[in-house]
Order: sequence, then structure tokens, then C-alpha cells
Amino acid sequence: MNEQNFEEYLDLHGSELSSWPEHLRDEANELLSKSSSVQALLDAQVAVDQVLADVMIVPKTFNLEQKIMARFAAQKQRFELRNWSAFLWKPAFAATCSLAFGIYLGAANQELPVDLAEDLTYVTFYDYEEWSGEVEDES
Amino acid sequence: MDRQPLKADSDEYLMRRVQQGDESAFSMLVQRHTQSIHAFIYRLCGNRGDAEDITQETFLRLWQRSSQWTPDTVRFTTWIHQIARNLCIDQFRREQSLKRTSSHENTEFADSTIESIEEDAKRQAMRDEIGTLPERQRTAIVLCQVQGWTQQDAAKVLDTSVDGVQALIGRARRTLRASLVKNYE
Repeated sequence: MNEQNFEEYLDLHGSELSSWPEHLRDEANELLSKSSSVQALLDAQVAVDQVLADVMIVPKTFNLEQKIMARFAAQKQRFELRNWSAFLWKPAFAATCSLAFGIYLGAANQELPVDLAEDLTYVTFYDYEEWSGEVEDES
Repeated sequence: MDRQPLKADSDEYLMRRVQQGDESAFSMLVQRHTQSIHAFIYRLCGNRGDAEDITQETFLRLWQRSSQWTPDTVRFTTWIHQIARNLCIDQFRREQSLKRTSSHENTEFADSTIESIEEDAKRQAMRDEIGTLPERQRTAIVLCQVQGWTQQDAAKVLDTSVDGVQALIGRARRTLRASLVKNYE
């Protein structure tokens, strides 16, 4: 093992030599005893691990679980409200359409009575003539 | 993953109940995993406020997307960490830079763990360096070195192989080591 190999194994296995594979551990220890630059590499990795452990300390949280459940409840409420809106939207639309159609029909039929009256007058007259003719024939 | 009967208090059993809309099971999962998920997110993003927000969002996503979880393919803890990581990535993209987040939290570390100003500056530099690691390297080092996960489990969260995780950790270690040597010179 040389310094370059050592650094590669250090990247791979970390600074805890006891967690290195056994055959590498012996060679690493031998190299460490001979080379100060290799020892410096190991020391640097040990320091990195210590700093990592320190800076990765997590601050305490206060009532985070309750905050999650509160947001969950609020979200659920919004979802239900949206569902209700979606549920009401169709009948409301149907009722509005019916109403609009009714109003349209009402407005369009404003003139019908006049036409209808004319038609009825004509039909009545025609029917009367027919009827009266039939009566004449019979007589 | 083998299909086995689920234990009544296991995460997987609770998650099945969540899939059926059981809010009490959801609450139990929240109680059980909030702290570990918060720790993971905090270690990735380095900001207390963001970490709390993303933790909350993670659990809301868990409820919304519970139907997407399949116990045969991924363990619950792996899945929820994947959700948390994706939300962190979204946050990183929004911020574009971690330097801002890594700088305004350090006083709390300084107050509680660092004795001298010189040490404070060095640790600050190291913390900044951790913040500038690529996201995948940071996730790998947080999961395996800080949280003690196996490389197999970390590989699932990172959607890569065990060799891939080893390479990510190796690169992160080398970068941090170089930074530390530079700062201590």
C-alpha cells in the first residue's frame, strides 16, 4: 500500500481503521508507522469526522408534531370545503341553466298569443265554413 | 422484498391504514418519525425554519400520496426520506445557494459547542464547506456517516447503487478533508 492507495481507502472506509477490512488494516498500520504524511491524512479525516459530528447537532423543536397535525387538519378542512363546492357546483349550474332557459322561453313566447289568436281565428273561421257547408249539404 | 404479515404496530401496517384514510394511524406515524425526519432535513438544509417547514410538508405529502407507496418495493422509512429529500432539493433550487442558509444559523452552534473564536471560524468554514457539497454527496454523508444508515438503504433513497453511494461518500470526505487542511494551515 502506498499513500495514494491509503487515501483512496480513507475515502472509502473513513477514519475508523477498525472498520477497514482486516487485510487492509495491517498494511495501513504499517504505512502509518513509516509515513508522517499518511498520518497527517488520517488526522485530517479524524478532525473532519469530529467537526461533522459537531456541526450536525440538530436544534430541539417545539411542538413540531402538533404543528404538523394542525396543518393537516387545516388542509383537510380546505379539501372538504373544495369538495363541497365541487358537489354544489353541478346542481347550482343545472338550476341556473333551467332558470335561464325558462326566462328565454318566457321572453320568446311573448308574441305567441298574437299568432295563436290569428291562427285560432283562421282555424275557427275555416272550421265554421266547413261545418256550415256540411250543414247546408245536409239540409 | 418478501411479503410477510405486518406487525400491528409496524410502520408498514400503519401506512396501510393511512392508505385507507385512517387519521389516527397518520398521527402515530407523525409522533414516531417527526424527530428523525426533522434531523435529516436540518442536516441537509442547515436552516431551522426551513427544516421545520419541510418536515411539515413531508408529512402532508405522505398523506396526500399514500396511495403511491407500495410496501413490496420500498420500506416506509426509505420512502419518507425520499419525500423529504425531494422537498429539500426543491428548496435548494428555490434558494439557488446554500451559503445564505448556512450563514444565519451558526450562532446557535457557536453558543452551544464552540469554545474559542478561532475554533468557531474553522467550524464555520467547515459548515460552509458542507453546505457547498453537491446535494447527493451531502445526502450520502448525512445518511451514512451522521445517521448511521447502511449504504444499501442510502442507495435506495439516492436511487443509486451501493458503489454509487461509496463514491459519493468518498468524494465528500476528500473535499471536506482538503477544506479542513486548508483552513488549519
